[in-house]
Amino acid sequence: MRNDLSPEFISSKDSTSSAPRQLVVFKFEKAGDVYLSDQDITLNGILYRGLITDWGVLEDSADPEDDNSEVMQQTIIIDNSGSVPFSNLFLGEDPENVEVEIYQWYEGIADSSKALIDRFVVQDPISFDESSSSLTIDLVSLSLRYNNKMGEVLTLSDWPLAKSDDIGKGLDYPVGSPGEVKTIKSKDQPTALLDGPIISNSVSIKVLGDVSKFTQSGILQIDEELISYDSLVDNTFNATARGLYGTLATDHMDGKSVTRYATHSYLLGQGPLSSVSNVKVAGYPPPPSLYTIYKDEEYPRIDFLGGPYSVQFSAASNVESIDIDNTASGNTAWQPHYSYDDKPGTSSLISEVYPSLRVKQTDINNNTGQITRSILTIEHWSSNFYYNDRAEVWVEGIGVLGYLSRPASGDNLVIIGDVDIDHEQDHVSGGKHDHPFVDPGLDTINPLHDHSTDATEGRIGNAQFGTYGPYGISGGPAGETKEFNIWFNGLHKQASGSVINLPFSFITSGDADLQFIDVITDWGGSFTFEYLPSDFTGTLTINGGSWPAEYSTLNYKVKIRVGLYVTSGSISFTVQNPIIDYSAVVGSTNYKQTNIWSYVDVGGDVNYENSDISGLQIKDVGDVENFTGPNRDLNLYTENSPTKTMVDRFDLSDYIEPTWDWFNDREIRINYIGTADNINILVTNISFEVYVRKRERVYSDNVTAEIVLPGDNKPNDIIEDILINKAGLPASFIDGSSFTAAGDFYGANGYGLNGIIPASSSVRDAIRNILRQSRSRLIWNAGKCKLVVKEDFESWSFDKEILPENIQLKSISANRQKLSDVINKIDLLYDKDWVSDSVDPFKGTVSRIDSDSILKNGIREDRGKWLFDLVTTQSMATSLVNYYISTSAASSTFYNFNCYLDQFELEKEDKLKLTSSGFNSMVKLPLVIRSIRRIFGSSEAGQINLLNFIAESFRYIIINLSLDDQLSILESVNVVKGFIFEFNEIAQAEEEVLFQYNNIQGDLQEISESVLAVAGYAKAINESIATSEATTFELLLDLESIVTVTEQISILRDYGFGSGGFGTGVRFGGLKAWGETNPDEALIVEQLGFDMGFSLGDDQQITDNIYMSDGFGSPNIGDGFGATPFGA
Amino acid sequence: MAKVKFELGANVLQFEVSKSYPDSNPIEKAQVLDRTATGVLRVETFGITIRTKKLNLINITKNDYDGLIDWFDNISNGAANSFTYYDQDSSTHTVRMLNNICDITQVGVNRYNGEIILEVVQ
Repeated sequence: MRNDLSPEFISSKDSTSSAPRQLVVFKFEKAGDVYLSDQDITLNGILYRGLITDWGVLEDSADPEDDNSEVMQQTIIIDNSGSVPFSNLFLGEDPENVEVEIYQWYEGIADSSKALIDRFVVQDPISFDESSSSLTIDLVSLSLRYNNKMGEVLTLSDWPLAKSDDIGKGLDYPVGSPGEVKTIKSKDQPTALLDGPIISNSVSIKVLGDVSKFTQSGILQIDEELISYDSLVDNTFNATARGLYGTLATDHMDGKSVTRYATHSYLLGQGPLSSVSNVKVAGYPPPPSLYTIYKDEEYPRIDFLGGPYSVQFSAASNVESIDIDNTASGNTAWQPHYSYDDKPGTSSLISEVYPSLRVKQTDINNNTGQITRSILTIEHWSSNFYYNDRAEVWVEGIGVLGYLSRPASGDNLVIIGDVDIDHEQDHVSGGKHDHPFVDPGLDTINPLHDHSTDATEGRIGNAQFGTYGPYGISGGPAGETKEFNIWFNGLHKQASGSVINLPFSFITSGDADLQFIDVITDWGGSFTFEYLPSDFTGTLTINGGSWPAEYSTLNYKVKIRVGLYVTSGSISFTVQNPIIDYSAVVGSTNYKQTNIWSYVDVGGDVNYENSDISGLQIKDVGDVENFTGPNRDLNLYTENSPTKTMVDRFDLSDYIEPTWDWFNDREIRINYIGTADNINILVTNISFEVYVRKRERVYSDNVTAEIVLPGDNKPNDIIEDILINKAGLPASFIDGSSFTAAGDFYGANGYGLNGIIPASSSVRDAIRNILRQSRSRLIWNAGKCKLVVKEDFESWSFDKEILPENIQLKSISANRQKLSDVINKIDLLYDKDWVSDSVDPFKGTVSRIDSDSILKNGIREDRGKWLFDLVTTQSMATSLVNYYISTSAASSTFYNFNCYLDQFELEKEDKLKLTSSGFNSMVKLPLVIRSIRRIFGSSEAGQINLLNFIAESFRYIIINLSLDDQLSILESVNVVKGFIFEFNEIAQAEEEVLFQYNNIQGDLQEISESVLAVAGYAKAINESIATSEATTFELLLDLESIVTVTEQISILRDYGFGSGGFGTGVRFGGLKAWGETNPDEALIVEQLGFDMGFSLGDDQQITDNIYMSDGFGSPNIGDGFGATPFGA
Repeated sequence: MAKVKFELGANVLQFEVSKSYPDSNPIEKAQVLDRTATGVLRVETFGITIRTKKLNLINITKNDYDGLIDWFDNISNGAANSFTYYDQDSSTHTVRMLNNICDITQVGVNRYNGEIILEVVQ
């Protein structure tokens, strides 16, 4: 509500008979101020020429349901006649640059008392015509002028080195502490691609691509190497130095980027900024030496020398080892260094006697990347199996990790030994020879000699014989059987793998048959091949698989019998180079097979072949033949039953997040625990196994940083900054008091905005967004821009009460908000991540529903309406969503009514109590003004000056009373509420109210007018009732109750014989009014029958006279009848 | 009763014939009335009080007619120039002619009838 009106003005406007005038000042830039009215008026020496022929209507475009889009608009008509018409003023200057002030004045009051209605700007175009000699001008709110964009756009002309992808992007307007924000690259460096690979000393560097932006000399960067050059001809740089500034001259592959090494700049939006921190490249911090921050610039920026990069860790981990390298103090283990030295097969020993192995890692470890996992690895074995004692593993900073694994069944020691045997034979001719062992030294006479490699280990060799046959018969009829005896002498009994291959070839003529081939083994087995074809040609293969393993003799025989029969003609066969594939085995040095031989005896008188295979080379590496003396034995002894080596791995990741430094000087202990087993535990090796993500450089233009703006981030401060610095509004046009009041609210409720306002947003849209996210409204009135917070109803203070005498007759109408506009479910999203490319970049959500509204109307929501990108705290989001759900969950009613100029001081967002003369039974109905139209008076049109109000009545205020609500009753109501006040609730009644309620201890009733309370409640001890007017109570007081009476109170008590006496106008045993005055207190020393329920022992202090009788006699019965005699 | 006279500087139009009756001097208030919901009147006054004087001319002479036409056309220039009006009581008033058309009807030989409205300049 305006408070800038002078008493003189107020007196005029409040009069039922007034003479209002409007005065207009056109503020031409060139022509100066021009003063107009609808009649010639001279005021303070200034003539307001009466050229206005029509004031029109000052329209308010404010949508009552979206009240931050308002524009005030008024069309006036000016007499444009005369030799120098008014429109001539617009010939020399643009109409839209002309500001207009319209004042309200009343005839007779001083010039200084006139009140500015508002400031406007002439809206282009204006129109005037010759026939009517009138000029029509639209005046619109000054706010319409403030449609500038919130930020500049990156253009190639202004930022010639900007990255092409960033041209056209806006320099956003940050507020508060937006957190991490993206940057725009304003200074890029030219890049080409290597045309072919170069090596580390190449000086001619040919590239592909546009090199027009490269300088003729300078520095190039390829991978991490910096290279100076002194010329650029035909896309070829002439390098003058490789590996500048400590970089490494190295090879580069074809297609690698070649970039000019210079400054790359990244803009952070609009500044100046209070701080810039946490700079990141591709999501990771770059080396601080790589960049410089310029935060105080109009457009703060980060400059990188060379392409920005961050050092990141590879996705996959490598395994590295951190070795233990020293013995720690307090070690008692035997030979502790054997647990970490490089010698194979050495071990430290712990036992009951040497119980504690203490080692540590002292060498500085090179930080090669990010450690993702760490494992302590201990290799150990023990001198024997053990079951009771144990070895405890302890790590400094962690404590006991666990225990070394005890050997399990099967963990026995397995020893594989090689014995080097040398001899003097040169094996030139093969054959048997003695082996003169020289033990233990190695014979040096002929150390280089060959052993046969024909035989595989375990197999002695093959014997291949000549061709046998042909054998046959002819003539006939006759039959004959040929027998072969194949002998194996000296064959080891395990020669079960031996194979005999007999390639047969038969020739027949006439009527002759191959009747059978029998195979008969020496150990009893036999089988027969029958019905073979007469021209059978093939190999008979006899596998030794079924040969008995336990046959006693070492001389085996296999007999082959071939049955031939001739009726007429002939049949003969040959055995072509039979092969005996021995499979003898060298069992041990004591059972050498050094003289194996065999022969084939083609039986009887026909043929006999013998093949001594003892001359074959049957040795393998390491094999020996018979030795004249006893063979050398390799004797391995163990003292006990040693176990094999075991490896225990303890994962440290369960306890710590190790860094490289963590390992330095880290002590490890392995302590022998127990006395039962008495064994030695031997520790072969202790080391840390770490999984490391290696560091690598990642070049990127994705540069982000956390920024903080200077100053306050309350919405009022931000709006003021935008209006002055973005819209160009003079500071004097800002209503300081309303901005301060709003700022107080924001401060008290923790309202602060943090985020980014896009450069592409208009000032009006930006402010509208801020207002919505701070439940506020910006109104333009009286030439000022005013900021108003939409308060909860509980915080309302009413600006004015509108009575029927203030309202134009029959001017009220009501419009109920559409049900479709109801919103009873809100998911308010806040805390936006400004660098996220996600479709849902909000990190916080506060949800509210109105159950009653949902029950009646179903769920109604508008998801897109609650994206509060400038809100970052949950408390603010909660406050906002609570407000919006309370005002949106039920349909409001908008009342439209006309008042006269006596309500001139009212403004939008003022709170009213509206009483109609009967319409809609409105009595002091709470309303908030949403829009105000001004209908200008005109004697010609018979129109009186009117203010047309649209005011909102929130239904939630009327219907949504519930437990814990603070009840503000504005009019006489009959409340049969039946609700229970809670402790410390306040019920405030401004007018007469009829209550039926139950109070609980501690309830406080603040009643400013007469209240009829039908309390019926039970007062409890120590309750206090304060009434400011006469009150009638019926109540029960309990023991020790204290009643403070501030006014006359009537208490009825029983009394009997005594004080009144018989016949004094009081019936025998009747009731008598007992009037006491403040601050009476009754001291009860005996049992009295009070309505109030006093009991014996109650402590009542009487400060005034009290007349009582305890019956007959006072103080004792013996005193007689009463203090007052009968009939007195 | 004196005969009416117009005077503007050195120019004087003295009518030979007295003005006729009925005489009318209306006063007009530029006001608007409205009524509140309780029936109370609200009054706004938008301008000055307009006082006019109707000069009822009956059977004026041709001299008066010619003088009046000349006055309207050349001296007062319609409503453009204010002048001094001497009424029948010889009281003076600064007035303008409100007529855009000076339409005086000849009703007989050397006899003319008409009405002129003069607005008192305040």
